[in-house]
Amino acid sequence: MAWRKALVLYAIYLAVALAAGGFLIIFSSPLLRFFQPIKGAAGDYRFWLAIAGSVVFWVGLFALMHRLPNPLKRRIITGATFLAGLYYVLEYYLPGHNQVLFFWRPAHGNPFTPLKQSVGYATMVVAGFSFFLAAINLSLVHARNLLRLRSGWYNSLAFFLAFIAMALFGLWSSYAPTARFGGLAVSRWHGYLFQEMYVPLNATMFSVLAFYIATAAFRAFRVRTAEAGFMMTAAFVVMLGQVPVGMWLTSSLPLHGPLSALRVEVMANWLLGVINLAAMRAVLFGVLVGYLAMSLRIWLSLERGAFFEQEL
Amino acid sequence: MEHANTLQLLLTLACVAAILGTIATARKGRQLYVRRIPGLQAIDQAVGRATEMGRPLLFSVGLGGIDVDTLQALSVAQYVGRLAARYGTRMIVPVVEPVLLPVAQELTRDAWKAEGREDAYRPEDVRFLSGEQFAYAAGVIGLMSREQVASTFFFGYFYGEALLLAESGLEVGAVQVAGTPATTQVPFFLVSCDYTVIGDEFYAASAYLTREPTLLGSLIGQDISKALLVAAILVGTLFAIWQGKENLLARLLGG
Amino acid sequence: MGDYRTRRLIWVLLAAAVMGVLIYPVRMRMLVSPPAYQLYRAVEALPKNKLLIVSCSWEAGTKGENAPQTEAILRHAFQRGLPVAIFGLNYAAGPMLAGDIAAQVAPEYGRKYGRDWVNWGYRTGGSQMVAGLARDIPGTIRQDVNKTPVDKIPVMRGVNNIKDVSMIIEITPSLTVPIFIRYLYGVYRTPIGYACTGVMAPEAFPYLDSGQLVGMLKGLTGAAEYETLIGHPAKGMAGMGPQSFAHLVVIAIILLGNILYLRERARSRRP
Repeated sequence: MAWRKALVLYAIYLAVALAAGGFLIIFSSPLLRFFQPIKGAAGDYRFWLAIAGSVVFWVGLFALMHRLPNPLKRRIITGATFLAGLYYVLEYYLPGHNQVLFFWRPAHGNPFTPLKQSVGYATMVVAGFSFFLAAINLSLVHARNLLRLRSGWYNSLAFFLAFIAMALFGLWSSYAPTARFGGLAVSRWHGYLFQEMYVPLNATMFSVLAFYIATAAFRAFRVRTAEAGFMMTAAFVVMLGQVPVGMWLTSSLPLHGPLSALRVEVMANWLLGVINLAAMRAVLFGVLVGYLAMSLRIWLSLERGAFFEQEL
Repeated sequence: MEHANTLQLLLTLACVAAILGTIATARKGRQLYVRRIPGLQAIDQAVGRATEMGRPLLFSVGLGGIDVDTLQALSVAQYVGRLAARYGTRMIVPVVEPVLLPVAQELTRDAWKAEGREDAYRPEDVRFLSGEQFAYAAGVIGLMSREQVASTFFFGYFYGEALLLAESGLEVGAVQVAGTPATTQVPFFLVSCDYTVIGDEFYAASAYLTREPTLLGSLIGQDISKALLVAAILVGTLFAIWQGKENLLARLLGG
Repeated sequence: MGDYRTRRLIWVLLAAAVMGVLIYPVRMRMLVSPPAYQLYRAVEALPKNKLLIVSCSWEAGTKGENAPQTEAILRHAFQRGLPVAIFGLNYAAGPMLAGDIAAQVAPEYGRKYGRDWVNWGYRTGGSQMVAGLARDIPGTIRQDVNKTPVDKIPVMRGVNNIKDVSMIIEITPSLTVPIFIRYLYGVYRTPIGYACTGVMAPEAFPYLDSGQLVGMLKGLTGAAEYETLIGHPAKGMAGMGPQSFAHLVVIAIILLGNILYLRERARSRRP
C-alpha cells in the first residue's frame, strides 16, 4: 500500500539523518576545524583552496547524481526535501529558551536554533548561483536576437549597452571611487545612470498605474445590482476620506459628537478599520490555511506524486 | 514569535491531521465534490483560443521567489504547459526571480516531454526578464505587444504591476485569466481580466485542474481546518468574555 | 466615441487635473487619521538613548509615496534628536535613496552622519537577518554603507541587540512587516511602525488592530498627515492637491460611465 511505502521511506530518511547526525557529533572537533569559515584576504591561498574545493565537491556530487537512475534521484530529492523541512519544523515547534510546551521546559533551549543562521547562509549561497544563470539567460536571448538581426534587434543592443554601462560604472565607482572617465568622476557617471535614468524610469512606470486605474474604473465599474451600488458608495467614501478635498466637503459637521460620524474621513476610517479589517482577517485565515496545506504537500512530496501516481 | 507555543502546536496538529486524514480518505476512492470555479474552468478555453488564432500564450508566475504561492502558480503553469504542448501552442514564461528560471525551464520541458513533443520545445520561451518589479512589468508588456499573445495567465503573487500587466493584455486583445492570493491586487485583476481566481481558490487550483485524489483530499482538509479555526476563535472569544484577557485557556495554552 | 479615443481623453483629463493643481497649488487643510497619529505619538514618546531603526525597503518605483514618508519620519527623528539607523531589506536602492534624503534633512537640525545617524545599507537574508539583528546587531551588521566597522561609529556605541532599539519603522511597498512582527514584536515586544503605499494599507489593518503595529502611514496621504503633525509641510502636503483632484476626476469618470451605461440600457429596453 502506498501509505506503508511512504512511512517506510520516511523512516529510512530519518534513520539516515540520525546516522549522519551521530557521525557529525562523534567527529565534531575535526569537522569544525575543517569547515571553519575562512575570512582570508585575496592573497590567502587557503581561501582560494576552500572555494576551489567546494566547487569541485559540489560539481562532482551533482555529476554523480546526474548519472543515477531516475527513481533513485527522486528518492534523494524527496529525502532531502523531507529532512530540510523537518529541520525547520523541529526548530519552530520545539520550545526555545525559557519556553514551556505542555509543561515541558527544556534545560538547554532548542538545539536547532543555533544552526539556523548557518542554514540560512547555505540557502543564500544557492540563491547567489542563480544570479549567474539569470545573467547568462538574458545575454543568450539578446545575443541571439542581435546576431540574427531579428526584428527589434536594436532593443537587444540597447539591453547590452545599458547592462554593460550600469555594471561597469557601478563596479568601477565602488572599487575605485576617485577614478575618472571622459573628464567626469566614475561616481558621477554612475549617478547619471542611476539617479537620472533608472530612478525616473522606474517611477514613471508606477505613475502609469494612475492612468490605467482611471480607464479601468470607467470601463468596469457599473452599478448593475444593489450590492454594486453599496460597494461603489463605499469606494467613493474611502477615496474622498483620504484627501483634503473630501474632508472639506463635510468640514461643516462637528469634529466631536454623534454628527461627527457623518464626516467623510470618519466614515472612511470606519470602513477601513472595521469592515475592511474583518474581511482582511477572514481572507488571511483562508489564505494561510491554504498555505499550510500546500506547504505540507510540498514537504511530504505529495504534490508531485512521489508515492501515489505514475512518474512523468 | 520565534518558537511555537502550545496553542499554535495544537492548532497546527489539528489542521495537519485534518488534511492528512482527508487525503487518506480521498485515496480510498471516496468521491469528493468541489464547486465550479469559473476562472479555472476557463483555462482550457483560453489555451484553445490561442491555438485557433495561431498566437502564443503568456504565463506569468508573479513576483514571488521560491515560495508556496509561486510553486502553486508553477503547478498551474505545468497544467497549462501540457495543454499548450498538446495543441502545439507556444507558451512564453517570463520570470522575475533568477532562482525560478531553472525550475520553470525544467517544468515546461517536462510538460512538452509528457506530451511527446520534446523536440518542439523552445527553451528561449522561458526567460528571465529582470529582478526589478517595474522593469519586469515593462518587459512583459513588451513581450505581449511584440508576440501579440492571444491569452495571458497571471498566477502567483503580484504587487503594483498587476494592473499594468492586465491592462496591457487587454489592449492586445488577449483573453486573460488571473489568480492571486494578494488581496490588494484582486480588484485590479477583476476589472481587467476575463476570469479571476480569488484568495483560497488560488490554492485549490492544482486540485481543481488535475482532480487528483491527493490534492482534492487536501482541499477538503483545508475546509475542515478553517472550520476548526473558527471553532477555536469562538471558544477563545467565549473564554475571553467570561474571564477576561488572562483567562484559563490563555494561561493553559500560553497564547 | 471609440474606445481608444475615450481612453486617451480620460488620460488627458487626469493629467490636466494633476498638472493644473501642481502649477496653481490649492491650499488645503489636512486632518490626521488615527493610524498616523498613533505612529506620531509613539515616535514622540521614544527615549533618546535607544536607536530608532528605519527600514527603507522601497525602491525608485514607489519613490512618490515612500520618499515623502521617509523624509517626514526622519525629520521627526532628527527634530527630537533620536539616534537613527537606516537600512533596507528587499531593495538595494532603498537605503541609497533614503540615505540621500537623510543627508539632505539632517543638517537642517544640526545632525551629523556617524554621530547622530548611520546608514547600514542594503542587507540580504530576510528573516534570518532580522532574527540576527535581534540577537547581535554589531555581529549582524558589521559595517555601514561606507564600509566603516560599526564599532567605530559613535551612534552605534552601546547598541548590542534589540533591547537597545526603541522602535523599528518599516517603510515599504511590499508586505515585509510580518517578518518584523514575528521575530521582533512577537519575541521581544519591540514597537513596530509601518509606512506603506496606499494600495498595501488595507492588508495591514489586522496588525494595527491587534496592537502588533503601533501606527501606520497610508501612502502619500500618510506622509501629508505626518508632515502636518510635525509642522513641516513638504512633498506629502504638496501632493495632496493633485491627489485630491485626481480622486475627483476618477469619481467623475465612474459616475459618467454609469450615466452612459444607464442611458444605453434605457435605450435598448425601448421597443
